[in-house]
Amino acid sequence: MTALTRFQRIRMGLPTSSREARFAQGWRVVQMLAASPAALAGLGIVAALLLLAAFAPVIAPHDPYVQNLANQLRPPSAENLFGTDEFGRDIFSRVIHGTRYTLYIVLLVAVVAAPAGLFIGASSGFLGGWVDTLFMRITDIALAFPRLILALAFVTAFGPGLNNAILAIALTGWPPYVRIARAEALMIRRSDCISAVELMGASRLRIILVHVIPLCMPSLLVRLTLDMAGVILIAAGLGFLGLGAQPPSAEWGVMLASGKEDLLSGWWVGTFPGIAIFLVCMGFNLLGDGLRDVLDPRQES
Amino acid sequence: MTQGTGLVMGILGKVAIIFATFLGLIFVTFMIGRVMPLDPVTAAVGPDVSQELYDRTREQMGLNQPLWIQFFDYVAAVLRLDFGTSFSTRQTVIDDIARVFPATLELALVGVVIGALIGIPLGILAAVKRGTMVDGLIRVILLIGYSAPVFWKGLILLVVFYAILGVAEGPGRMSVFFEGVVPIRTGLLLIDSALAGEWEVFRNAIGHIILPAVSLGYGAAAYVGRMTRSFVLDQLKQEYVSVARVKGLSEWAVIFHHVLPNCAVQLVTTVALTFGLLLEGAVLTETVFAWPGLGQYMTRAMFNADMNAVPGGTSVIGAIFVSLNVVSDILYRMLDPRTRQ
Repeated sequence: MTALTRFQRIRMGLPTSSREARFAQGWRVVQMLAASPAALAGLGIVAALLLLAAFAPVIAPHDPYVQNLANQLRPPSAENLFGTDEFGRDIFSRVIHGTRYTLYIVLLVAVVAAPAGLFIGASSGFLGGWVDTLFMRITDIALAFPRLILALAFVTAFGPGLNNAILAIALTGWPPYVRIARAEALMIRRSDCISAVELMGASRLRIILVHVIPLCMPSLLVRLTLDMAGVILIAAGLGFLGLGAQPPSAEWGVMLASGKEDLLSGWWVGTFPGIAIFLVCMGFNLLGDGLRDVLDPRQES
Repeated sequence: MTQGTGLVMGILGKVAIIFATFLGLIFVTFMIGRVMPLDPVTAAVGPDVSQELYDRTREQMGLNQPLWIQFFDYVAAVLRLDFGTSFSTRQTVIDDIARVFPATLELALVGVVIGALIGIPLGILAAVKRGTMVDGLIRVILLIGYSAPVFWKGLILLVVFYAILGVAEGPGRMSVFFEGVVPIRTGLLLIDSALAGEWEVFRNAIGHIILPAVSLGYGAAAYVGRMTRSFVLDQLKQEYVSVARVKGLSEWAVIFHHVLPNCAVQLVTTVALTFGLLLEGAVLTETVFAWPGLGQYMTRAMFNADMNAVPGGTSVIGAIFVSLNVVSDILYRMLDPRTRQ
């Protein structure tokens, strides 16, 4: 046994410290994801999104904002892979730069909605009693609203714009996380490890933050990944209606809106940003499905 | 006795939740109407008017009142079911909505039928052929359905079937020369034209509705198909299925005579919920197809800072959404004997 290196211990699932145990768990997730081609494809798409966003200026052959009116509405060619729009801008470069907007939206919504839902849900499930009843009623009410319509109404209230759209999407997005975190917390509450830290005199806040919330993370992560597709679709919808990101932003929804105007004179203007939205959503859906099968086998579809 | 009181308490609790939900809806929509960034008075009378006219309009709109009085006015308007007057059309919001809603309803209805007709068979097939190529292929088809934005599907359909192939009609509900031919009875053009015996209008209307309905229905099919697959898989694990198989029934007989009747309740509620999703999707689809429905009305109201029309439209869609949830819940309880205990 002593002959095993740390790497071997991790790979064989025989950890000797909590740090090694964490690595061993991560390794198991990687192995199971790798066994599913669909999840791997999803991971590939999301990774590609990250890379494209990081290196957008290097990859894009043209400046996404420079207009060239002599070069309006050119069909796809070797010079302009996806053609040009009504201002002669290169659509390929704009689609590449659009990854940055998508990533920005997705990350901000995740950072705002998920932790808020997580904290409310975990506290609600752990504390129980009237706190739980109150939070769950509010969540039920919020869940009963149609999400896109509510986001639309919020954006109207805040005024159109990218950041307001993100805020509106986040405001409509927290209830599912509350539900999930609460369900997990209810189960964790009765476990021996929580009784043990309670006996050691840990405060409630400490138990929730240090012990309950980490245990909610796997199912939350699954939900978050699956949710990202919806977030991207709503953001694109708001951009398309002119309530999200504003022209001339290279945001995919905005580009689709100009594609609507040029529908009959240039099919490529709307087609390629649409394919980009579709691919990224599919990537998040596939990855989320794969993660669910690995991390949360109870919820198998 | 105790069971009886438990039931009553359960129903009372449900009613209280529904009531609270509607109250929440009213409160949220009120706040949305008040914090709009554009000045609703300026939006109503224009930017270059005398201070006197501005003040008079402001008073007419009730905006000089304290906020809590405005809130009670709003609640009263909701209870009168008229939602106040729209400042761009000068009619009560409910009249406006009654005028535009049938178009949206028709679109969503045709969409949900298409969604169920595609989604349920695909879902059953995927469950029966679980783990095979067929299952994988259906999964991809359905995944495309809910990963692609509904307005993009609409644009692609327009380009292919209207601009290139010319087999479908373009934007709008009907061609201009048919406007006003059919008397409005239900507001649903397909039914009205059939009632009037105007089959040419009927065909024209079908040609117009098919593209937006398919772009909506494809997304619905994705949701319905996915749910159908998991319902059928759940049933296939049950022992009665093994019994039916041991009895020598063919796989399809097992599915159609035993499994499907047991999924029927869940399928009905799923389709009902999908209908709510389609009402939402219709807002985006209508923009693409210049469909004169609630979605167009609301987006226009948003850009005009119409502070009664936006909350009104939101409330109506929200109320339908909540009602659909309640109705599908009740249907589930009525149709499924297991939930009665």
